[in-house]
Parts: sequence; structure tokens; C-alpha cells
Amino acid sequence: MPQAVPTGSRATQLFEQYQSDLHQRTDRLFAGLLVFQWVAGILFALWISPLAWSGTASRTHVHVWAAIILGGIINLFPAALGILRPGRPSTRFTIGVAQMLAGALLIHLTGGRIETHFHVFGSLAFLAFYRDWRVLIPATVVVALDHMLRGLFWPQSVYGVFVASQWRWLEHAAWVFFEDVFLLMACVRGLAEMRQTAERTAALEQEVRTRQQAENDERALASLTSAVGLALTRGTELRTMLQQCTEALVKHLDSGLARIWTLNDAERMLELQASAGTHTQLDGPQAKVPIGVLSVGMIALERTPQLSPAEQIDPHLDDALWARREGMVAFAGYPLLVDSKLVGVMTIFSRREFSSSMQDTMAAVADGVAVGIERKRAEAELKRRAKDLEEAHEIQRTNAQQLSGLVDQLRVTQRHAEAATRAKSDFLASMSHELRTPLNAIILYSELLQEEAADHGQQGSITDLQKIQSAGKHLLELINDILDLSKIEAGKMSLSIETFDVRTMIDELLDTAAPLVQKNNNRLNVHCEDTLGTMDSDLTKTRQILLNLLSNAGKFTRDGAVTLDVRQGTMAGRPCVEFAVTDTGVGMTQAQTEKIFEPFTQADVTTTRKYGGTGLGLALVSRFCQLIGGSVTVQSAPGEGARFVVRLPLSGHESAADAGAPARVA
Amino acid sequence: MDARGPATILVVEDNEASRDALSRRLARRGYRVELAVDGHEAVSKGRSASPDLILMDLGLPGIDGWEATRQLKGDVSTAHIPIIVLSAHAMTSDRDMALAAGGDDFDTKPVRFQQLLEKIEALLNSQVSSFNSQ
Amino acid sequence: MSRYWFGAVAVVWLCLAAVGLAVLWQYDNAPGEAANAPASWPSHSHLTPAADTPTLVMLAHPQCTCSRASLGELEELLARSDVHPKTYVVFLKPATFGEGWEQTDLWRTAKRLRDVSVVRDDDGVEARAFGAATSGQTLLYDQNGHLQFSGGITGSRAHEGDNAGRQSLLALLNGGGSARTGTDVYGCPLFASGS
Repeated sequence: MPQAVPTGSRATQLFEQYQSDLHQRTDRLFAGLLVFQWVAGILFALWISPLAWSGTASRTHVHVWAAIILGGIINLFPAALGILRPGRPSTRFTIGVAQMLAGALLIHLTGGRIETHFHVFGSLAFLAFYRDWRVLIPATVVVALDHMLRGLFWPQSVYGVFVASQWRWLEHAAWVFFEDVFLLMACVRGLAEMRQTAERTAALEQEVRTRQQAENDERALASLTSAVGLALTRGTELRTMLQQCTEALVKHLDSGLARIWTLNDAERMLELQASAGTHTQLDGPQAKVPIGVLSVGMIALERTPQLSPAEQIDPHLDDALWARREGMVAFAGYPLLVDSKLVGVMTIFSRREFSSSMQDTMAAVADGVAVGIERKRAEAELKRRAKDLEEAHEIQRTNAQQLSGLVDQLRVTQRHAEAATRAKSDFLASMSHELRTPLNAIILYSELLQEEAADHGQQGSITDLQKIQSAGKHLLELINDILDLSKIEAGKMSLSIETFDVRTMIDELLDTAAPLVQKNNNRLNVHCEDTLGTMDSDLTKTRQILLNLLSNAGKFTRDGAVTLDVRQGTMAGRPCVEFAVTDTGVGMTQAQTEKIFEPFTQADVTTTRKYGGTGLGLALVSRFCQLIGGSVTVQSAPGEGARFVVRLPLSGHESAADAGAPARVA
Repeated sequence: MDARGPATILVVEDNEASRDALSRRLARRGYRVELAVDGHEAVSKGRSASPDLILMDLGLPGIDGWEATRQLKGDVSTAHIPIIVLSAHAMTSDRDMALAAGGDDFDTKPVRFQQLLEKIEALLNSQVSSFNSQ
Repeated sequence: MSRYWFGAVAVVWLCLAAVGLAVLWQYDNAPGEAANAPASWPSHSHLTPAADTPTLVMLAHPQCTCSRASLGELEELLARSDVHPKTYVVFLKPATFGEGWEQTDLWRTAKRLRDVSVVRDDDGVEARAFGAATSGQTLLYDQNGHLQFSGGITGSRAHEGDNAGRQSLLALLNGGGSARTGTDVYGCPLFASGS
């Protein structure tokens, strides 16, 4: 790439060229003019004085010969010079002299016509075309000489009186001088303008050159950008991609050496990945550079770009010598940063200076390469993660398979459980029969024996038999309760909804319940609302609920009162019948109330012994309530009796899903 | 009691103790008691003995109580005899099934003797009234 | 080498030119034969001198181109003169030439001059009478017929412009004297040499 030529000398060059062109043009112009003058002279002579007479004899006038020969001599030699040796100073000086001589001849040939004298002034002006004022000198000298010599040798030819001719000559000289002065000024100014034009043209050339250069640079930069962009997007493998980038840098920036290092974060080392230009091997002395060492490491450490003349980097190392040897003029190093994370370093040595647009492009390339490196890293990471994910998926698939296996097992287990439940309920079904049948016999026999004993008046036996019967009835009760509970647990308890009159049900119930309550010298009070009508529910279970509650009230109260209140109410916005059983018995603690609805839990372990019962009554109450869709609550305090409230919907329904859930405690 | 003398009750029960106790208690109340130990005998005795009432236990070997009830009710010679079905299961389905099979009443085991007696009397009296109305 | 060669050629050329010009000027400044003019009006001239004004006679060869200048000067002279002399312009016509030979542009120019008599000089009789030998010879006789001036009125051959002859004539005509009574005559010989 050609160095820029200083404008000064180029301007001079151009100026001289302009002058030369002008001289040559003018030489050619004069060549033509001189030939014309010769011909004109001949024609003049032929026209004006073709013949010279001597009496009767005539011959060709001397003037004609003079026009031809002398005119030829005077005009043709310089004309030839003008054609053959144009531009030379000798040519134009000769022409200058010749032109004035030709003028003298012409004036002479025309007999000294005043008008012909104008040729002198015209010729001088033409000579000024050369813009070389020195040409005017010999021309003026010739004119002066002509006057002088003629005045000297042929004084009468010069305006007659010798004395006066001196002044005349001065006058002529003054006019010539006058013209010369102006012509001189014209020459000088003309030259000045020419020089100005030359300078301007030189400057323009320089500008165009600079612009051309800039355009070329831009084109190179654009090519570089696109080449790098292509490498980065196409980039197959990291090293290949980076190598393509460095080669693009070398090619388009005309740089001598371009290199890219990536950062090995673990070892805090820069590893050379690509090198293009004067060195292409990757295993040289700078293959691995620790951070902070050498200019490369310093750039990585400080994370700022470094631009400097080549000699200024690493003066303590060979690089400076190498740079000079290779003719490297500039150095540029860029840290490769992605979101202020360092991923590498890029360096460029160049044999020419970096323009500012080059610097911008290189910075952009550095950014792009940084992103490219990071992307490669991310890709590698992604691949690794994908592999991990694949493995995790594998594991997950295995787990899922295991899970489905477990689920299958679970289903099998569930089926077994269901089968077991079915077996259990079938068992219950059959067991109830098996359990009840012997009991049936015990009770029947004991009753029979009581009757026979009564017939025979064996009072003692009757008491014993009553005990047997009582034990059997207790056993029966227990069995019934257990079987009922088990049925509910197995979800086999069914409801039979019927419409029955509440009052009637209560009255019939009291037949059985009253003796149980009054057994412990308790008073039984029953209050029923008049507005009670019918309800749709399971009659048997309702009766059993109330029977259990009343029986309990009677069991745990002595010499007290048991009250049954029946009235209408609402439960969760729906109409219900409220049965409240209140007693003035022993009562329960808060803790006890929380446990009583659980099966086999009486207030405490001593209760069964003291008060009898199975411990299942309330459990059944609560479960029956749930089944029907009602609720049971208890309020009690030790020594203050208990109040159980059962709410059953006016239209009972089955809620089999709730079977087994505990009752609420008020 | 009608003019023909004390009513005959056929007790179908496979459990010996139950059968014995029940029959003796009935006898003490003045009924004549016939016994059958299984469904098959229930049907044959039902035909042969012409009881006034049958107490049919459901859990019987061979033909069970359902089947026996159906057969008896299906047989024109025994169709008129009221049958009280006895079962240890207290499930409503059993009740419905029994009644659907033709049983006139249903009771649970262990029996409450007084309640059973009332049922027996109710059925016998209706029988008499219907008989009397013929 | 070429520079010196050129220098030599240039010098030669300059010399040639100079010489040539010198020769030319020499020719043009060579005066013609002076007239042997009679001191008083020749009697055998057919021209009649004026009695009250000076008489001016110019003798010219009708074909002599140089004499154009002389005629021009004559015109100039007559224009500037306060006194208008009786002026004759005599054109030689050799017998050998036919009629109208003398009717050249010179003749016509002379004819156009104010108050100038143009005379044809057959066979050079007048010219010989006045003793003129060169075309352009100009003679001035005063009222009394005395010769006052005899010479040419051009500075050099065919050369118009201020000249001593004209100046002298002017001086004479305007009443002054002039020291110079004769100048060189520049023009073609009226008679072939030897005649």
C-alpha cells in the first residue's frame, strides 16, 4: 500500500507539469504562427513589392527573396524546434528571439507601416503565453538591438534626424517596457494561479486518495466483519472457528500476525487456540501464558484493550526485535469479554497503522469472538447437561417403570385387600351366623330352664339362670355391636330409608328405654315439640342411636334425671330433628369427651367394671349418625352430667364415604 | 286354638341346641311341634305333616331356607302354610329376600321369644279368620 | 551532446538571421543615384512652374513599389504644409511599353492627391530635364524658379515615416529655411543602368 505523498512536492510536481504542458502548447502555437508569418511575409512581398524596376527592366524584388529566404531562416528554424523539442527552455527562448526578428522583417517588408509595428506588441503578448517572463528578455533585447543597430548604422532609417531619434527610441522603449511590465505581472500572476491550482489539485488528489483508502479500508473492514461473522456462526469446532477468524484478520486488515487465546479459568492460564500470519504453529513459546505475564497476560489481567506501536510491548522480550525485523508497526490486543467475564485474549500485529475505524472493527470482532467462544463453551456445557439429562431421564424411566411395577403390585395388594375386605365381610356375614347360633341356644335354654324352674318353684336356680341369661344378652349385645361396627368399617352397612312418625317412634322406643333408665332410680323426662311430624330416615338406626344414648345416660346416672328433648332445628341450612339427651350423672372431663366416640374407649378403664356396657355404643352412635347424614355432639363437665345432641336430617341420606370418620366434639 | 286342637308348628333348624330349646319352649306354650333338620326334610315334612306354621331357619345344609321356602310356597299343598323365616343375619336384604321368596314374616336370631310368639299368634289368627271365612 | 549541438546550430542560425537582416537593411538603406538637378527651372520641361507659389516636382517610376512610400510622404507633406505648392508628379513611361503601362496604382494614388498634377513622362524627357535618376526624386523650386531642394522624402527604401527630406521641405515651404537642401533618394532607378 503506497505511502501518502506529501502535498508540497506533489503540488510542485503538478505545477511543473502544468508549466511543461503550457510551454509545449505554446511552442506548438508559435510553430504554427512562425510558419504563418513566413508565408504571410512572402505573400506580403509578392503583393506589395513583387518587382524591382530599373528603368525598363524588372526583376524580382529583393524583398521577395528576403521574405522567402530570410523569412524562412528566421521563422522555420524555431518552428521546427517548437515541433521537435517542445517544452525546452532553449526552444522558447529561440522562439522569443525569432518572433521579434520576424517582426522586424515583416515591418521592413511592409515598408514600415505603422500597423505592422503592432506586431511587436502582439508578439510580446503572445510570448507571455509561456508564463515564463524570462522569455520576454531576449525578445525585448532583440527589439532594442534592432533599434540600436539600425540607429547606429543607418541612422536616417530611424526617423530621420539623428538627434531627435534618441528620444524617439526612448519613447518606443518606454512603450515596450510598459507592455513588458504588465506582461511580467501577468506571468507572475499566472504562475501563482497555476501553482495554486497545482496545490489544490494535489490536495484534492490527496483527499481522493485518502477517501479511496478509507473506502478500501471500509471494504476491507466490511469483508473482515462478514468473514468473522460467517466463521462465528458457521463455527464447527472451537479451534477451527478461531483459526478462521485469525485468518480473516490477517487477510482483510493486512496484518502480519493475529492470535487468539482462550482462558483456562481453573489454571488461570491463557491457551493459544489460533494463530495466522507469520506464525501458524500453536505450540510455540506462547502456547500457554499465565495471567499477568507478558503483554497477553497483562491484557487479560487488566481487561482493557491495548493499542501501541509494536516496539513498546515487552521490551524485555524478543518480541520487540521480532516486530522490527518483520516490519511490524502497530500492535493491538483485546481482552475477550462476555458480560465482563474474561474468556480469552486476541492480539494483532500489523505492518501499517490502525485507523480509528479499524480499531472499532477490531473491537467489534473481539466482542464477536468472545461471544463465539462463550457460545462454544455453552454448547459444550449444554451437551454435557443434555447427556446428564438423558441419564436422569434414563433413571427416571427406570423409576417410572419401577413405580408402575409398584403400582401394579399395589393394585394387586389392593385387590387382595378388597378381597380380604370382601372375605372379611363374608366372614362377618357367616360369623354373625356362627356367633349368634350358640347364643341363641344359650338364651333359649336359660329362658326355658327359668320357666321350668318357675314351674317347680326352684327360686335359687332362677337367679343363677337369670345371671346366665344376662351374661348371654350382654354377649349378644357385644356381638351385635361388633358386627355392626365391622359392617360399617367394611362399608357394608346399608340404610333403609322410610318415612315414620317421630312421636310414634319415640313412644315405642320408650317402652324399651324407660326400664334401662329407671333401673338406677332415675327419672326419665321426655319433651317433644308439637310441630314434629314425620321424617325420612333409617328407623332402625335412629332407634338404636337414641336407645344407646338413653341407655348410657341411665347407666352413668344414679338417683338423677335423664331428659330427652326432641325438637326441630337446622343443620347446615337444612331442616333437621334435634334429639338431646341430658343426664345429671357423673360427667366427663374434656379429655374424656374427646375420646368417647372411639370404639372400646369408655371414659376410663374402670368405667366398664363399674358401669358395664361394651364401650361400643357411642362409636356406633357416631357412625350411624354419619351414615344417615347427621351429627352428634357432647357437652360435659365432671360431676355435672352430660348432654348429647344428635341432629338428623329431615330427609336422611347415605354418606357411605364418611363411614369410619370420628364424630365431632362440641 | 281352633276346633281342630292345638296348632302344629314345624321347626326347621339345623342347630340341635337351638332346635331343642325352641321346640320345648313352644311345647310348653301348648303347641305341637314337628322338627326338620334340613331344607329337604322341611319340604317333605311340610307336605306330610301339614303344619299350621313353619319356622324356617335360613342357614340350612342342602337346600337352604330360601329354596325350601320357595318350594313350599310353590307347592299347592303347602302354599297356604305361613312361614316365618329366621336368620342370624339382621341385614335388610335378607329380610327382603326372604319375603320375596314367599316368607310371611321374618325374625332375627337369637330369637326374642315373646316377640316371636306374638308373630306366630298373629299369623295363626289370620289363618283362622281366613279359614273361617271360607 | 545534443545540448552543444543545439547551441552550435542556434548560434549559426542567429548569425544567418542577423546577416540576412543586415543585408536587407543595407539594401533598403542604399540610396539611389542622386539627381543632377538644374539650379533653376529647366526650360525644356513641359511643366509650367507656378509664379506665386513654389513648385514641387516628384519624379517616379510607376512600377516602383518603394515610391509608394514617397507618395505617402508627399501626401503627408502637402497636408502639413501651410503653403500649397504647385505640385507635379511625373511618371516615367518608357516608349517600349504600351499605352496605359504607367497607369498603375501609383498613378491612381497620385491622381487622388489634392491639387496635384499627374503627368506622363514619355520616354523620360522630363526626368532627363530635371536630371532625376531615381524614382521618388523630389525637387522644390521657389516662385522664381530657383532650386531649393533636391532629394528623397523617405527615410529608407519604401519606408514611410518621419524623414529628413520631408522635414526640410516642410521647413522650406512654411517659410523658414532649412539647412538641409538635399537628402538621399531611395527608390528604383528611373533608367536602366547604362542608359
